[in-house]
Amino acid sequence: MRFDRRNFLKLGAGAGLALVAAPLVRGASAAAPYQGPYFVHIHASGGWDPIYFCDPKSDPALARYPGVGTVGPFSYAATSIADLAAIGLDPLIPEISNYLMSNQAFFEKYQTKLRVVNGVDTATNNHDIGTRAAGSGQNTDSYPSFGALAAATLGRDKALAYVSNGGYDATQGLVATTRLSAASYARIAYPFESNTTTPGSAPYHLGGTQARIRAAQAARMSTLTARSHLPRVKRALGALETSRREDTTLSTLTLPTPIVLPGGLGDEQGVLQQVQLCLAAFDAGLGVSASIGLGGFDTHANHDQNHIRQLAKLLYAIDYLWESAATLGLADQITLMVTGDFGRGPGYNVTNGKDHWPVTSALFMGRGVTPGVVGSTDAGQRPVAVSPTTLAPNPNGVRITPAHLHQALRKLAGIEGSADAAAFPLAGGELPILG
Amino acid sequence: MKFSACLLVIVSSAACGNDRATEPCLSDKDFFEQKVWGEVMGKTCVRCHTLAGPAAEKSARFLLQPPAFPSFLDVNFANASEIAQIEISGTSELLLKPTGLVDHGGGTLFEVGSEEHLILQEFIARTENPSDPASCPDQAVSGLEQVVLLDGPHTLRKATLELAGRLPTAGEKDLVTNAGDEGLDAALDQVIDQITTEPAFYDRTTELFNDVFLVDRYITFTGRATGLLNATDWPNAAAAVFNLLPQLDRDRTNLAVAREPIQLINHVIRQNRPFTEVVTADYTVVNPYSAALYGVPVTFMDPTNVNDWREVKLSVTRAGSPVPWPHSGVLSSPMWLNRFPTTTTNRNRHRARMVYRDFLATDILAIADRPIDAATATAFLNPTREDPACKVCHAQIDPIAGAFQKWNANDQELWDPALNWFPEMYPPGFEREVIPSNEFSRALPWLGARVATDPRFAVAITRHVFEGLTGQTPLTYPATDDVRFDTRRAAYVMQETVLSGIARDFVDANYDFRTIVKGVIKSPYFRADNALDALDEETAGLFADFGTARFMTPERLARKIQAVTGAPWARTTTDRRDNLTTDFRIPYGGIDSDLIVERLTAPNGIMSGVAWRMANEVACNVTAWDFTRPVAERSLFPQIAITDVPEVMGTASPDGEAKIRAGLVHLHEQVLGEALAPNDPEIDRSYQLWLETWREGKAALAAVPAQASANMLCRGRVDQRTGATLPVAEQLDRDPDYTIRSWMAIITYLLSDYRFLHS
Repeated sequence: MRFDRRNFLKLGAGAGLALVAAPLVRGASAAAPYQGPYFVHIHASGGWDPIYFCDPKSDPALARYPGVGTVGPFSYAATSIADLAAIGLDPLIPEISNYLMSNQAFFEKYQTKLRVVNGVDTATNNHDIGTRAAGSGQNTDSYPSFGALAAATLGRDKALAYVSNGGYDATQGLVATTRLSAASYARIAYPFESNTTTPGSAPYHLGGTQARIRAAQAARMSTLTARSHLPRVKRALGALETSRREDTTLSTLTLPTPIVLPGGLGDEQGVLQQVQLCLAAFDAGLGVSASIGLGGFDTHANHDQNHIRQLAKLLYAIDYLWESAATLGLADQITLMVTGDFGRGPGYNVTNGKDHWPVTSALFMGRGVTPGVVGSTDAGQRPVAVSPTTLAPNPNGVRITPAHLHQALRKLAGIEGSADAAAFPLAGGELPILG
Repeated sequence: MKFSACLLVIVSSAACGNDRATEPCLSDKDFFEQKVWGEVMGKTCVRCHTLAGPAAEKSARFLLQPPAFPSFLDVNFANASEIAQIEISGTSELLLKPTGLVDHGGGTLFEVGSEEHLILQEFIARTENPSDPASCPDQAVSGLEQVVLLDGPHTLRKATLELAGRLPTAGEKDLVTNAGDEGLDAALDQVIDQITTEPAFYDRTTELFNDVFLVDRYITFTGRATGLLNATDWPNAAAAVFNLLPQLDRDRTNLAVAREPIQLINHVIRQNRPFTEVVTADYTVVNPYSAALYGVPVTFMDPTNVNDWREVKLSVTRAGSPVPWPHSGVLSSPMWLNRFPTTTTNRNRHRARMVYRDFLATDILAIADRPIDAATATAFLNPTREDPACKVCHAQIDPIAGAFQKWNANDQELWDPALNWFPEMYPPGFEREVIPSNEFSRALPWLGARVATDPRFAVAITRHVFEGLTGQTPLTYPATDDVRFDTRRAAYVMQETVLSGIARDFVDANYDFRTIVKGVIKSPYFRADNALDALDEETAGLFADFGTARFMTPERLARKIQAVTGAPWARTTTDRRDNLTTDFRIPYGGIDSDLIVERLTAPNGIMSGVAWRMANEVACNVTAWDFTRPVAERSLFPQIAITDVPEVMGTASPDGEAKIRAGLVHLHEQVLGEALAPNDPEIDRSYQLWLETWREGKAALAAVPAQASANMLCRGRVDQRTGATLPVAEQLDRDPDYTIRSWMAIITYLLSDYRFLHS
């Protein structure tokens, strides 16, 4: 089943809620829908293997697939997903194949939209640190994720500014993280209605009372804020006030009918549902950025079987994102980053798995991204330094790091000069990573 | 100089002087932290003089712990003070070695007469003539005078809600009130001792430790925990046997197995055992259901009592003979082993990391946070023992990993005495002590005994409790290039002083868990309510984590609703599960212990929507119902009748207004813990809300008299404690004066209040 606008459940106009919202909506910013740009980060949790995807090798010690394919400037691992059993899926459910995407199909379809960055040196083999670096550009734990930074800078007042269900999603207090679930959403979006199927038919309080309660709450919070001198209390009061300004807009969300996939694809189903929800948030003008995680890439054993399968799920999820975004008319406004914790290898261990390796790759797609390939690794899977101006291989140049990726991403988003970004500076300078 | 010695002058009543050149009142400990560590050892010595550093390999006595090590400043201060006393020809080694005047593996680091040299000189002088703590106290705890703490009664309310999900009893209130400020600590201790005998306290500890161990992952559906157990050792766990049980028995069995490590912790607390037993116990605990699953012969008075936990020693059959299970408290629990699994290549390192994190307060990855260089990593045959970037971490985690050597990598809880350790790895052990090979079959208990006696164990448990009860992650020492280093360092030292004091009390009390609970409850981090005045930016940073401003978790909010209103926010009259722990657990920022393991600590629009929904539904459920109850049993309206109105026949009724104000005073106390006078501005605000709602309703009633009936959903027809329908004679259907609905608006207002949603 493809994403279909008709499968969305429209919750209603929300007129009743808008009436009670009036006293707390301050200024136009909370009411005005956010219209882009949007940012999505999909993280291949566990540490993906670029050798099996966008940085292929012919050396059989490093890779056990038949060859290397090329499409335009891109090289890719010519792995196969035709045999479901070979990648650990049930061959008796052939429709599973409808929800997988091969490397070849992906590169052929997205060659004009895709930028591959190879040879990224994460300088770590640790999952936590690698995940942090992928999400924030920084190895320490005191930095916000890019998604949080973008949401805070571009749409801090939006109800679903930063939606996350995976990956590194620390916010450092810049913006609230939201976890969305289709279940019970109507009860949340219409909290003053006892009958959420027909909003307005059975409110808990008379119309004037709802507004009066909210107004009294706002006035009391102002009093409490004025009396409070401890920063933690002030932060908490501010967060609650902000969330209350946001909640009045929830009824504008068009909730999707959750996509359901056949057996063996439960993790992918979760990712696709999160894609649905984050796009719904974007479409409603409530969201700025989203962080989504797909696990299963930590393939210390049976690497080929398990890794090829997870990559095929990941690529389908990316495809689903773009197809769905196009349906909603959002595709031109979305920038996507895809990362892993680090890389894998070099070569195999005794259980046909691949262990951790600090050199990895990253993908960028969509708004503001120039298609192409930059960066590379040598035959031993070590990072090749690049010229800081042309990004051509240069032994006297610099290694591409997660900080470089994030510096470029901040620039693309137009937030590199914001106060929030300035509070979390990145080392290493600027490279023309994204074109 | 990183630290402004005068920062705390602003907030301290103890004058410190402002001559930064002489810094007359820098205590020895502060001097070490700011000067010796900050300017010398933390920048140079620590590069080599760590447990896994080059100096340690040369058997150096002078070893330093990095900032990720708990109480690293205290540890390093003590060690450096000891080393300072070692002299060669009358001069301390601490001066001779870094200046190259005697052989030093690290070479000459600075010259005689340099600033670093002068700092070390003064440090050595101070070790010989310590400063007077009375005239020059440690600065770390200065400044607390600026913080306004909750008074005794409100600390009590917060504590009982936090620990037992209930309001204080009248006796407890009297005890604390009569104790006054001087006797408050003792009174709180007495109350907490009582609370820890209550079943609800163990619900709280279960949550607290599940946030650490995340074993609730295995109760998502029946059979998930039991299904992990291998059927060879535990035949009753085999699907063919287990699935024959009635559904209720399967649910209870699965829950008992999933939470076994946490129930072991609860058992240790309940039985007043030293808390070290959580890693040393040579037993586990079972209830009637898990006893049956494990096949252990225990007789229970009531075979359906899920709360009857007994100590048992498990055994498995190997080579045809029973072999005792190598119990080591939580560490040998099948669920802990599954929740933190290993693989054939991971070789128990993940578990070792968890031992460090959860029981030794040590983020081993932060200690070994050293960049890995892919260009050189392949230059070593055995990188984990040869590459400096690798061995700094592996030298510490691999020995502990070796203590788990007998567990099968493909079946996490399968204990196999035939398995052996890997000769290319560091030998099994703990820190620098190696496990004798003849003890390999008991390697885990060997490890547990050493973890229990390590000083970091007390720190680790203190931190878990602190985080659980305050919602604050313990601070870490800031990086030296942190732009807010001074403030963060001061805040860290202040918190570290409090936490290390609690940890010491815990050890002194023979690891009585209650000691930590009491220490945290009585600390300013739990009790801070406000500051005396507006704070400048630096001081605000110092107190950044003070304040009773924790957004409540869904579980704790659920209990608070019940405590305050007398009824849960149940899903329906027949499904008594709480909304906040089912439908809204994840949207309200909770965890599922599986994919979502971090709680949200600040509300967002979705959570605000949940809070409004809760306030409205609960107000609808409990307002009319409370009026149906005998006056003495009412939680919300013990002093008010539905006939009390502020105006009669268009004329103001002072008596009616007074009664309504009295009712509001009670509700502010009951719901928000605010003790207010009837003419307090907050009562004025609430009264105005009541009055305007009432007038609006009366006008609506005048227009449409049929609306005298309460909203269909909000009538008092159900006992909200049980979901049972009330006898018809007790039901409350009509609201002719619009007072019930006016009070309902007040309940919505109070339940959605900042102070109700936060603790």
